[in-house]
Amino acid sequence: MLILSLIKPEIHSAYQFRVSQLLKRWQHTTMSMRGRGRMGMRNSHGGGRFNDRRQFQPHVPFDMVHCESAFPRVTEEVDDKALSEALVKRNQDLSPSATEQTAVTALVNKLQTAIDALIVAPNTFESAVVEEARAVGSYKKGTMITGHNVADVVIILRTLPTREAVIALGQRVLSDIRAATAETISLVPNDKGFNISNSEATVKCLISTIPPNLPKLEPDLHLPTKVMTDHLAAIRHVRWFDENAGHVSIKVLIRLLKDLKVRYTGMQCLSPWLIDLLAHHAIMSNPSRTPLSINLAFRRALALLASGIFLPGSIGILDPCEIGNGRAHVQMPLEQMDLLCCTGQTLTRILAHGGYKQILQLEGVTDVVNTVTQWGSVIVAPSQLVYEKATTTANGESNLEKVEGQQAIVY
Amino acid sequence: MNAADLLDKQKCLDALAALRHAKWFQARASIIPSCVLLLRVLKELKSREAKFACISSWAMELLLERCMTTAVSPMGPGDALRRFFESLASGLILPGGPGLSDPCEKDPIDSFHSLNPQSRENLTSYAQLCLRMIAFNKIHKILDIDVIVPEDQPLSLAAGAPRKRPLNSIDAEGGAEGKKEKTDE
Repeated sequence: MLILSLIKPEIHSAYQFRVSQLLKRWQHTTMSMRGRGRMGMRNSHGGGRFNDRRQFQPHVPFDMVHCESAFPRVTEEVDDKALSEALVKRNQDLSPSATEQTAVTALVNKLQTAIDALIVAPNTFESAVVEEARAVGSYKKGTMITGHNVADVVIILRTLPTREAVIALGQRVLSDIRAATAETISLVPNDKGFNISNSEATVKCLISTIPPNLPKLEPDLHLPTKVMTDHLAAIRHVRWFDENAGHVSIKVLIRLLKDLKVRYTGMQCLSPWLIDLLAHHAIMSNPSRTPLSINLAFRRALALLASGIFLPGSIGILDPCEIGNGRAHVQMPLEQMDLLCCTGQTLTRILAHGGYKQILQLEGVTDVVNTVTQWGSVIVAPSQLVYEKATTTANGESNLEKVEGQQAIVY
Repeated sequence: MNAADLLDKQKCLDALAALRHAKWFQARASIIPSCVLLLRVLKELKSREAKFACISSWAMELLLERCMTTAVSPMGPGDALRRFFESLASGLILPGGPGLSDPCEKDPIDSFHSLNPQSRENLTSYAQLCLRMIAFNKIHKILDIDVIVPEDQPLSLAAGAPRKRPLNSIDAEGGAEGKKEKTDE
């Protein structure tokens, strides 16, 4: 809570101020938290050598919207009516139908009732004590896509989340729901919690625990700490989203980007949270602080990807829900960053040449990102990847640490 | 006077424009640190790379000056070059982009007006490639030079592995345990 309230003023202030503030905070964090060793010593030993090697400062990528005054339009204004209409239409196609929405809401409500009963009368259930249950993810944010009728609910336990307790909780909830309804309800436990489904919808129950319990978790007894913290983060994300990203254009853009993610392999590394942040940034982060229209925002989102907002070294988008405001994209493996940027670049060029119908897949089925295409007199070739993994490892693992390690050997 | 005796009008206008460009350059571009340095580098690139050759020197100077003056904080040459390619990569000169206004002309005119759509596309595509080359520490391939490894820098840093651990690794089990062990000792 404290963290959120600390960060909030910056979200509302002017962009440049925000960047400079965050840069300062970034440096501060670097020095205080991670600047041990070389960096810390250099700072404490005074200014003599300081100029030799500057501290790492993330690069702020070029963003046309923020320097519009330096780039007044001198070319003809494009008529974006067709693009806007296509985007709105695509959004309609992607939005879930009323039946789907009713089905998923009904199931979430049933689960919520069952959980509420457990919270009110904890002594009726011995395996675990439930603190609270919160809807998160695309269901709560209103950014669901048709054909994927799954809602996410985080259930926070006050007790330690042992695997047995989670399964017992699942079964208890299942029997409670079954008692209240005539529908066929099924339960599928998994490593993050359990899924409750009926014929039309699924509720993913994600288990987490209260923060004081986190250090007590043991890998072989309880659910993994990473999963617990991710689920707690999901709650922070929803809260941030409610407060900052309620505008309908943001939701539409999120849905459109999710759709691109499904169809273009290069964009699959975009996590739902990165998509939220990118959509919010594309629509809200402009000098006048007024939401951009959807056509401009869609172009901008692709242009941002093309100009490398999520490349190594870039400041990207600072995560408003993490301590120290880390860059949200640094967890992405390097080759994915390259692929993502590459896809964004090809799409930007195709969009500029009028290929929006193909991008949105309203027309034509060719994979425009990987083939040479012709638009009028212009031939567009896909961007080529530049990142090379240095050598193949013995076990072929591709996690971030490994990749960086390898890269270090070669250059 | 006989029209045949006169010099070509367009050439005269171009010469006058060149005068204005030089004046503008003195006043605006030459005072920016590392701007001249970068222009020299870009000029060499223009003479070497077919895809980059279509950009006019004037458009190059103008765009670089715009990129450097619109930055949030003053930039070193590396960041400025990256930003220069970023601006082209974002589709500035593609159809639908705003273009680059020419401060030395009375009428609003795009400094890239002489480029046909295919050259614009090629230039953008090349800038996009260069941008990623820079981001992935392959700038030597653009500049056609050998890799420069600063002597006093460990190889891992020179290779451009991020200089810090990712934020989350602090909370990750491994890191936390490692730290604990150290303090215990």
